[in-house]
Amino acid sequence: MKINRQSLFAFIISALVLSSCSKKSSNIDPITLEERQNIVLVPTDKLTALDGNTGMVKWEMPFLGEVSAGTAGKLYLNQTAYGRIGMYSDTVVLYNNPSKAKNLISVEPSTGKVIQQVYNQLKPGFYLGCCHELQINQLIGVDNGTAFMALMFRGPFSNGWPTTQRFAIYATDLTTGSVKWATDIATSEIPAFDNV
Amino acid sequence: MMRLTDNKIYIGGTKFSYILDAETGRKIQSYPIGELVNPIDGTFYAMNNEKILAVDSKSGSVKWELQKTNPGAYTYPVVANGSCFFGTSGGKLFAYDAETGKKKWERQFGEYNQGGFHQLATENGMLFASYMNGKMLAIDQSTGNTQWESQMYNPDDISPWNFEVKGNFIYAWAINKVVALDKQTGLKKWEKTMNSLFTRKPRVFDDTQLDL
Repeated sequence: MKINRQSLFAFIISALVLSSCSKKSSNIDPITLEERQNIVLVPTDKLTALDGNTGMVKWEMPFLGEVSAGTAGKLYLNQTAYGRIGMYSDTVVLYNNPSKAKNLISVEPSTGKVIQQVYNQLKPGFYLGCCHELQINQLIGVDNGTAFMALMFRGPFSNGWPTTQRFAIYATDLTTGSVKWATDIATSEIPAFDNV
Repeated sequence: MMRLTDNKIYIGGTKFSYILDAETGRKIQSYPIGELVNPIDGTFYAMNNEKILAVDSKSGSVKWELQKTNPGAYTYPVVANGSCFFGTSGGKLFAYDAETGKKKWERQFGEYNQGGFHQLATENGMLFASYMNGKMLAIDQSTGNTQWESQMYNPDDISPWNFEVKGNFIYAWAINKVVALDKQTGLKKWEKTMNSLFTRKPRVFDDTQLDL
């Protein structure tokens, strides 16, 4: 068989191309470079988000209340919807004059943009419309689209002592804003505002 | 004290504690002991005015208890690698066997008038401790030896320094100041003074928490 030089050259090139195509893929897995982004949320008379690496301010928003981590890229903020009447302890502030403000706020963590607002404040059930009631609706945590809160209520006061009290834990569906369940805690065992 | 974890809600009053099912709100268990909100391997570690307690989470029985004999305040106990740690406002730090309550080691840090320990946290064999005079310490859990210490702020300024360990950082705060330290070395990475006082405890999140 007679093979000319041009055919031989074409054959060698084809063989090299086929050889390279049939090579097994590399066993080295690609490395994903991961940079953890911490955000430090500082509640003063407003809420300030600091970049955890640099301390620089990422965003600020007017806010007074509690902060909880969330899922699906959200922060959950439990904004006080009551007029503030004073500090109860280092961690709890007391409020009165309930309003209809939507207190539970979902926030985009990198920008502070408000995504959703839900009214999430269970009423004591025996609100008497008098003065001197103490009530907080404290955020325990948020999981799987449900906010878990604690209602603590004392009032009205007579000679400095509360005449009624209630301590209840309740769960709110964040999609619908409806209360999924509410469980009363025996205040003879754990009084409202006890060790919160 | 209230805590949501593992689809349960823990409520720790002063004298009683409850566990609720987060799905239904049904009461799963109650204990005639306060402050039981953080079970570790089937045991609650709690503290009241008189004692530090280890309580079996199933039976509610006390496994061991220690009388608080040192004067002044105690830090809340933390547990890691089989040891229960707590510190005192007098600057003493203790390690006890978490299962038996037997003392492993005890160390004195600093002078009595420096405010003593305020908070402890554990991670990867290390015990991190904040001191009221603005000092942060990294301590070997097994020996009590200091790995590094960092003076975060003016040592004459006695304040309740709380902190959180997150990623490569320790974030500490008091009154209106936030300080970030390198977790490995204790070197200060940044500090910030806010214009007004904290109304609540600062919180730290990372993107793994936020994008589950």
